[in-house]
Amino acid sequence: MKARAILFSLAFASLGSWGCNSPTSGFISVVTPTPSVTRTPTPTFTFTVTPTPTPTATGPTVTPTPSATPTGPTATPTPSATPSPGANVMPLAINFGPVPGTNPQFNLPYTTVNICTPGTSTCVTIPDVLVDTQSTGLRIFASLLTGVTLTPVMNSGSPVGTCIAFADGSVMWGPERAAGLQMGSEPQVSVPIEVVNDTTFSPIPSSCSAQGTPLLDPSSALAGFNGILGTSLFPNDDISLYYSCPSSTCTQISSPPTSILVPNPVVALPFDNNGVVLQLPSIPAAGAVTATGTMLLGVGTQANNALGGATVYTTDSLGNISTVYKGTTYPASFIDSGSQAFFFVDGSLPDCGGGFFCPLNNAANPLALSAQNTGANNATGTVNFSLVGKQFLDLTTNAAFDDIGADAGFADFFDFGAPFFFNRTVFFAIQGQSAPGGTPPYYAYRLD
Amino acid sequence: MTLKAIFFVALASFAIPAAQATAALGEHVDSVQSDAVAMGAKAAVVSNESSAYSVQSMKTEDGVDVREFVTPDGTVFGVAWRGPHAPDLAQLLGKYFKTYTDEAAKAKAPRSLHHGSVKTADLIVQRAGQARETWGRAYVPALIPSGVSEDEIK
Repeated sequence: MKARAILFSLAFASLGSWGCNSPTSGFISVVTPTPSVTRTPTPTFTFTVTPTPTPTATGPTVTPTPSATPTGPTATPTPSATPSPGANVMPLAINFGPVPGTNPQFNLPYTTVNICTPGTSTCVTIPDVLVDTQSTGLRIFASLLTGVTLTPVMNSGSPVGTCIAFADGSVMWGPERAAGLQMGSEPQVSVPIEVVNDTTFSPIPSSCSAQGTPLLDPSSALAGFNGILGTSLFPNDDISLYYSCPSSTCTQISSPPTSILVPNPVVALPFDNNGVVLQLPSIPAAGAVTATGTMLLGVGTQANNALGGATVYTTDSLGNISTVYKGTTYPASFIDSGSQAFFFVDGSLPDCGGGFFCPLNNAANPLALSAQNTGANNATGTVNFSLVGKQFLDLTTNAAFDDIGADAGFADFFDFGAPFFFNRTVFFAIQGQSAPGGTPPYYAYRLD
Repeated sequence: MTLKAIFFVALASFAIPAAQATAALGEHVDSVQSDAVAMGAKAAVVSNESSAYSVQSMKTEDGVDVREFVTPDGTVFGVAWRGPHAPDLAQLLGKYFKTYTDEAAKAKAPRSLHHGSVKTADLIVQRAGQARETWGRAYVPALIPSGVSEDEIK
């Protein structure tokens, strides 16, 4: 079997590279945000002209409509040798998502990124990208990447395809391509991303679809986002499947070299590259229609992302901390913006379907609970949180809730999901980088 | 080690062709070797951790540990895995794979990208996975030998 696979890949490798278009450097067309996505508050952007020569680009070319979204100071049009204060600010918002009519979401924090033909100012703005602190790498549905040309990532002469399987039963399949990524007002950087469900690429291999249901576009049942910005505690994604795709048939690369792993895009930045900070405001116990906060690039690299009084909890090699809840220790606990609820085990809380906890506590009388976290560095702290019975919460009116809990179904972790982020500043420092207060990987957080 | 276990070890020392890629869950133990071959794993190793069942363990070519739980009469009642990603669940869940994907795609709220459960009368699947490791299990409640806890399937 193994020998056959090797022969197979050798045979295809000899066919040489399989083409994607070369970058169209003279083609400057500024692409406006995709028309299908109108619900999210429009983020404010200042485009920075990239340092790469682009003959016809002469200055900032896009100024999206102003909005109330917080934004940093205007970036300078040329790259500077030092970080620009405030360039690290990205929007963060919880709302019904990109397909509010047929695929409404709650408690999914979204940001906006700009994807450019590398080294050019030909860019497309992608809003409603789910910020996920427990996966690694940027993945965008191909249908949204209009007007930009990305560069195939190659392995031994063949384009690379990648397959990430999420534990909710969804998978994302598509080519890995280098994009000119622009986040906040940071300089554009070239970063490999996954282009999800690119119908011009090799079809999904059976070993990928054998892991779950492929997500096709934002309206797919398990989507409800335009893409995922995986900003985990780790520098690259070494759990996805990677493939050599010289033709319509792909061959799995059993030991993918680090050079082709989809990276944590934050690490690619020249500054503010050691992690991220997420902030969401305090909201009423009954929930809020929307919640608007901030995502900051970097941890302790600027005035706006300083730890302040946050406690640092270093993790084990898998990104876990230990949590004690009602006397039981959950050793594989984590903080996850890709979870819609606090997920944990508590047999005393009624389950009213779908796993939702439904205590007889309404918004006027939330159930007060607490858990104690301990980091690998032995730092400890108590998390006070509250639950309102799902039967008292209106998920058709509101999209943001700080008090939804659900049965984890597993006895080894406490998942501090999206509700945890309200009224807190939460830091995620990336393994292999340096950051104040401890050695990454770590979580840190403080109440606002 | 029981006679049956010795038999399995002996069986594992032969090269089993992958012609019949029968899936394991709910099937006879013979399918375990098919799983091993289909997933590029070395042959399964048998251990008796309980008098009520045996466990066949294998490691796939790309580093996923898979354990299949077998009743005394040779039926696979549960599977569990841990590693960098999930194993070939279509192979491992066999006739239950479609039930799994159909149920999972119903997108019951609340959900998480990093753990999820499917519960039907016939099938329980639980998966979890973060940035560096994934694990999960699937079992058929009706096939679990009496006196065996589902917690043992891991």
